[in-house]
Amino acid sequence: MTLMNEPIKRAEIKPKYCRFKKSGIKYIDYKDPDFLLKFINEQGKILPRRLTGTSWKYQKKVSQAVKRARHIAILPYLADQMK
Amino acid sequence: MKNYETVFILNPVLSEDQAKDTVEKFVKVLTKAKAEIVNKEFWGLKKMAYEIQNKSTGFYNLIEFATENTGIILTLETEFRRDESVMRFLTTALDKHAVAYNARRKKGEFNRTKKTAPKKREEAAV
Repeated sequence: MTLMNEPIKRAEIKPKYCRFKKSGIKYIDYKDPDFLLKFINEQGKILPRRLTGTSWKYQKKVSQAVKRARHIAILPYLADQMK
Repeated sequence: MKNYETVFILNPVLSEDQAKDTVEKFVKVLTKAKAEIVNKEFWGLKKMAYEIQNKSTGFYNLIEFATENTGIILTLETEFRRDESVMRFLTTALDKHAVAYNARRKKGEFNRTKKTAPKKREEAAV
């Protein structure tokens, strides 16, 4: 935790980028669990944008894909020890 | 020509060929309504992430089709609801990126069958 008056170490903070814009992925497949596992935490919850750094446009696609995957039981709604 | 894709899970109580027959039944519903079947996949018996109708496995299958009159989606879904061996179904409309993705997936570009792990997604730039 950086305190108020501590100097922030610029080198450590790497700017977040949207992985979909960078790698040019346009469609997020809801049938592909291994790819979707990167966007949910251990309890099966969708990771927020401030952690993953994805842009809002693709975050909506990710959340829609995860919700569809949950509907057809590819991803659990809640899990204790996911990965 | 609008593209749609439907994934549905069949009860594991059915035997392998019974499951195939019910899939054929749904395909017939589509072809009767002059829909063009683009892709048909049978993932077989798969373990589900949670229990549905207290069954933990199910026959997964996927039908990708294209059609003009979108009225058949309603008839297809009533067929799904009528058939009690279908535990769950999900029909989604596909935009052009999704269609391109499915075409590449069908060619096996992500070189994964349902079992193996997929190629790392980052290089699969569209």
